[in-house]
Amino acid sequence: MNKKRKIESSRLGYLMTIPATLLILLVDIYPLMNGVTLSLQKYNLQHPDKRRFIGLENYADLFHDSEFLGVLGYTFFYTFVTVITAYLFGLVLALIMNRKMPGRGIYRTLALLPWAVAPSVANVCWRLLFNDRVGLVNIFLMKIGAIQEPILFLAKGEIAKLTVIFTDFWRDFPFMMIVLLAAMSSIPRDLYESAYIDGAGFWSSFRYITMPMIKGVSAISTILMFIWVFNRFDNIYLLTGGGPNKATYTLPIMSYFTAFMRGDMGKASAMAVVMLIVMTIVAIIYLRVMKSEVDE
Amino acid sequence: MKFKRILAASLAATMVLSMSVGVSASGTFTDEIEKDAELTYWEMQWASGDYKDYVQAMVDKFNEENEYGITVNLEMIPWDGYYETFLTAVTSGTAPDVYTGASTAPTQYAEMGESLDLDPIIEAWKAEENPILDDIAEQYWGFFKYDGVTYGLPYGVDPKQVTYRTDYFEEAGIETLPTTYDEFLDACAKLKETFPDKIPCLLTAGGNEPSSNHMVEVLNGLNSSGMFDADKNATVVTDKQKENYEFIKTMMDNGYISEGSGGYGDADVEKIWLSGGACILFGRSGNIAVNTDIEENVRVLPPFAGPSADEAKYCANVNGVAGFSQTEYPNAARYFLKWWMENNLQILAGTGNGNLPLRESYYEDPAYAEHIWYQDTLDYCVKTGVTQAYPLDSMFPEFATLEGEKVLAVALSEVMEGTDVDTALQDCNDAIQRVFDDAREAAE
Repeated sequence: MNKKRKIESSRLGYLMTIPATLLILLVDIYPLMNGVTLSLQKYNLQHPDKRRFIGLENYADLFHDSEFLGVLGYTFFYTFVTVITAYLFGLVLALIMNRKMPGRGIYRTLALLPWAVAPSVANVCWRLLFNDRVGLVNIFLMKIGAIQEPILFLAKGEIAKLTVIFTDFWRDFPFMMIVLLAAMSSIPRDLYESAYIDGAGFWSSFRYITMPMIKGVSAISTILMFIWVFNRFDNIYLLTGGGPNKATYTLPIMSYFTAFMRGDMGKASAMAVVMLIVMTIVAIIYLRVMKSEVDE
Repeated sequence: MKFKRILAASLAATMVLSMSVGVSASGTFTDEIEKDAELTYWEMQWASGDYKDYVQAMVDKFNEENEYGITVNLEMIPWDGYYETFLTAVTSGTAPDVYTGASTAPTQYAEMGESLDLDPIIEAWKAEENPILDDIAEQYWGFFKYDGVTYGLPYGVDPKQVTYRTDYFEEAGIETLPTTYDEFLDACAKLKETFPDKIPCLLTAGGNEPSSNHMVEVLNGLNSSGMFDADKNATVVTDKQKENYEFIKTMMDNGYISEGSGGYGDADVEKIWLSGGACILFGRSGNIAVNTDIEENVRVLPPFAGPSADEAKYCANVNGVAGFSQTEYPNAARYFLKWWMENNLQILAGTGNGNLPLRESYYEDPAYAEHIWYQDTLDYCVKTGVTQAYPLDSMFPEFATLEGEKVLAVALSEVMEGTDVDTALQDCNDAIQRVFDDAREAAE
């Protein structure tokens, strides 16, 4: 009887997952398979009648294209630097916010604001702030004597590469701060008290108590942020459009222009699959870290 | 007698036969209009605010007036993501019947076999000797032709020109307007000396708007210089283009244009221009000054010639109205487009529409006659301008890529970042050639 009930319960459970499964198949799996299929075809929207299977030719073309390799390299650089700076700054803020102080709630709310502002609004503001003539950033820096000539934040390629990293960091550090703050809040206070009694100072406590206790959360949050930043399109598109002169092209931007300006859906899909492979590797690392957290 | 009977019978049979295939005495598409057709009309958001109301009023008028029971349903399309909106609609078989849109759309979709043939409308106008054919300058009628067929009707222009502040010129003692590149540089020098805090020449070469392309299009018109030929090959490495970019470089080196121009988008330029932070606005439509505090002091600079110009001209970025061949009612769509072209003053004049009319008679309307900038633009741009596809007569599909990826502006961006002119020209040439080569490869 119990066995029969168990079987019926399992069957019911599987039936209950059918709607969600169908939705995932429709929204995730089908487009994914379609994209992979497209990446193996020569398909230009201007000439849909010339569509044909070409195997891995799109991938071969990409990895022989110095422009693509340069964009891939910058995408990794942009992602790593954004994630690392957002993590470090978020960590510092979390350490500060974890202390008891008057108005802590207000400071936490203020620190979250960059995350809450819509990217389109933020980037319009950044464009005006970074203007060399009327932008507040240059005006302020020149007023305090930090610079003699305005910085061409968006006009010089090498500087623009760093500018987009900065705007992304500004948007992402609140997430890191909140996640790390939550992790720190769960560390038992008596560990710090015991360490204090034993003569440990701030750095020793930070190194031997705080960091080990937030290690898992740190790994998970940085991996997640890596995935988000690597895939990010809106910030750069709205701020520089990939310019000046493609200096701030990342893989999502390049894929977009290849698909919609050149109509080359095959090559654009191949770029998307390359992104997928990178994300899959990162996701595997994420799952392994999650597993080790659970095991601990 | 017998012969006469045979002849009469033959003639009668011919008439019956011609009626059965829908060809009447006029022989135009207007005799074959589908009755009670329902058309979807996509209108771009050419202006903010009440613009939609103006368009809806025009559509309502058509719906009421037309004798065929045709109903047109209006949908306003925002410019954000417009390219993907149209492309997705066309490739999924849900394209509208008629539309206004990007200037590249009619020929681009014609290459895909998706554009509606509009030659019947031209034929109808010729048959009725419609004055519209003379009201729009000849160079614009062929702009939307692809493989010899008309796929778009030119109605509007987004003028790319050089405007200047008359008050600043007066204060700087510039009494004669420049007519050559050298004279323009001299004027910039005087402006820089008189107004050290202002930008002598403001231009935009950054952001994700296509304005940097428009800069290039203006230079091409002023020096009669092209960047590609009729065989779709890049022709950037020429003496004429070198003159253009040496001109830009001279302006950079002397501080006549802001170093930050390479990062300026439209919003930056508008802010600086409207706040009086610049003396000359290069490569943009001057309409941003209309109905503002500075309007009275803004005039269009007559086209000034580059060293190799045959005749200096500004760029008239032509926009058109068109239809898709997916329509179930091709003749009803043509009928609406014909009516639209004949009655579109009500969505142009006084509505804030970013397009100026190509029809010269429209400039007599008070909305245009009372603003000097419109009259200047008529004289210096509409009547005599070259199109954005110059030196070609017609738009071509690859232009969408050249403009969308700002390939035309590669040399401009590089020179503004300090690259030497020869290298910049070669890089631009290579980039344009690559677009053409990719398009040829895609067609194989």
